[in-house]
This record gives sequence, structure tokens and C-alpha cells, in this order.
Amino acid sequence: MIMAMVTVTINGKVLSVPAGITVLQAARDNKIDIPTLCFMEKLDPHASCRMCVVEVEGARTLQHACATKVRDGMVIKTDTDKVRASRKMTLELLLSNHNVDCHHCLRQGASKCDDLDPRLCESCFFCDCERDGFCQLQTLAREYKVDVLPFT
Amino acid sequence: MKNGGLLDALLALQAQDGYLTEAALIDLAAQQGRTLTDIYDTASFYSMLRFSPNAETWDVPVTEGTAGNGEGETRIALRNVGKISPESIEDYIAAGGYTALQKARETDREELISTIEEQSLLRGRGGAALGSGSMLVLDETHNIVDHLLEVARFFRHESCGKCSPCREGTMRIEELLEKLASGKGTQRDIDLIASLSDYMQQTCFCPLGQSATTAFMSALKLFPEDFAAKLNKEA
Repeated sequence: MIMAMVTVTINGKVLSVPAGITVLQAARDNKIDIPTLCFMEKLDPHASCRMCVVEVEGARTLQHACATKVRDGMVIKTDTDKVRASRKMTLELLLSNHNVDCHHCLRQGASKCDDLDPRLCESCFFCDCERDGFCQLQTLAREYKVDVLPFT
Repeated sequence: MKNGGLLDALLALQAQDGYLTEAALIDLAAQQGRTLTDIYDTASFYSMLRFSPNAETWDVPVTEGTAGNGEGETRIALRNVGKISPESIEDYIAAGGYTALQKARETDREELISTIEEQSLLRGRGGAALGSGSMLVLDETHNIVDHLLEVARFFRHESCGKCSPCREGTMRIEELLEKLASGKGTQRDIDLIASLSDYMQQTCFCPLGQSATTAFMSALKLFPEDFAAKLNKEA
């Protein structure tokens, strides 16, 4: 069976992707990273965390990559200042109402080279991340330079 | 056949007494071998059945004193009481009912747009939006921040909580406005409201969150002096 293909432009790269897949899938298939929190593979997208927002040319608002299907001729930008500012605000809002200081991890330094210990400390015991050994919130908070939370 | 004959019996009772009295309903329940709850269930479903006397037997108090144009209002509001039978649609039409609907049907689109936009001058003046068609008039003795707090409360209450910007954002904006309204706010709080508003308009999942901040953004643009007046003077 020949799959119908559409042409999309992501961050200036012209890509040919199968019709019907999501923007997130198209980006990840082509090694372009879009951060997600609420997205889980094999489940229907929930599109509620708003971490995966991207700019789509012609759209009035930022679009969620996890639940937006690719259309032919779509021009997508995943890493503009506007998108990054939005994701940072999302993280700040989420972390303001979070019982662990994820963005101030004692083991994780300012960069990967500064990390004291790749394992997470016990103050994360509230979360599943301690069990999984990986905290997506922490990783994103570091990437988006979340420091002092604006809300109390 | 659960309700067979019940509606007819209820209508007959109403025709007899003018409305459904409790005593009559208790008798009816006994007659038909049903519970009173069962009878009420049916009787309260139909809007033509009533449990209190019809309007024509009401005592209408006429307001005296300073509450507006009392006499005129009474005359207009109650002029049809007793003249129209609430059960007859012909009576209602004969007394001028549905003329607004007829006008709405006969008005064409262009005429309607000109009424709304040009004659009423409601759209686009000073960046204001008519929104859902309601208007609120505040005089200059009100500070807009106090009213915005009400708007913020409304949206915090309405937010369904699905997406993070709306769930957290409406809550934070309310918090910041509460702080401002109580005179403890700083310039930083105003800036935060502005950036949160901008963020929510761009990022929220549905149009509720996207438009929740319209009032804050236009107030910040149009009434900066009201915000300034609310700032904490000591800080």
C-alpha cells in the first residue's frame, strides 16, 4: 500500500511525512524535539499540559503538536522565542503548585557537566520520578531556565 | 401506561380550582392508587400546571416613593394581567405577542448589522468588545480593578481545569487582582497579569481560556490610572 504523503516545513526543513500523523510524530520522526508532559504513546492525546505548543503559520493561537494533524503545506516552528516563553510560563505555573522543588534539584547542577549525581535525591519521593529515576519536569525546568517562581 | 389518565385528571382539577391544591392532589393520589410523589412528579413537569393561584388573583403592590418612575413601570409591566389567558396563544398574539420575533424575522442581515454596529455605536469604540451582548455601566467613582476581580472570579469558577494555562492562570490572575484590589499590589503584579493574559490568550486549549483575559488586557490598556491608584504606596 502506498501511503499518502504530505509536505510540511518544520523549523525551515522541508519534510515529506505520511498524511494523518500528528505534528509531534512528524517532528520526532525527523529528530526534532518537542517537549511533552501529558502525552503518552499509544494513548489518545490529551492536549492539556500545553508543553508541546508550536507556532503554525496562519493559526491565531499556538497549536498543540500532540493533537494537531499535519496538513499539506503546513509551516511549523517549534523553537521560537514566543513558543519558549509560553512553555516557560507553563512550567512556572505547574511548578508553583507542586509539592517538590523540582526546579532546584540539589543533585542536578546548572548543566549536565555540573551534575553531582545522575540519580535523584530522596526529596523526590512524592513523585513517581524517584522510582523511574528520571524527572521530565526537572529536565524541562533546566532547559527552560525556570528559577524563581513568579507565583506563590 | 404508567401515567394513563393522570394528566387529564390534573387538568380537570386545575380547571375546577384554578390551580392544583394540595388537598386535591392528596385525594387524586388516593383515587388513582399512586403515591403523592408520583403525582407531583408529573404535575411539576408540565409548565401549564401550577401549584399556586394564577396571576389575575395576585395582589400587586404599587411601589411608592423614589424607586424610579413607579407608576409608569407598574402600568407597562402589568397592563396585560387579567386580560390574556395564559393558556391561549391566540390571546397572546392578539395582545401584541411575538411582534419582536416577527420583526427579527423580517429584518434582513444588512439592516441588523447596521443597527448593531452603526446606530448603537457599540462595536470597536475605544477597543471595547460587545462580547455576549451584555453591557455593564460603571461610573467614574468605581475603580476598574475591583470589577476585574469579579471577572477573574467568574473565570476561575468557570474553568474546567483540563489545560494547565487556564486552570492555573485564572487562579493566579484572581490571586494577583485580589492583592491589587486590597492595595497591597506592586508594579510587578500588574506586569504579571499582563504577561499571563497574553500567555493564556495564545496557549489555552479552548476559547474560554483564550478569551478569559480579554477584560484584563483591555483594562490595562484603557485604565492604567486605575491600576496605578491601587498600587501599594509604601512599597
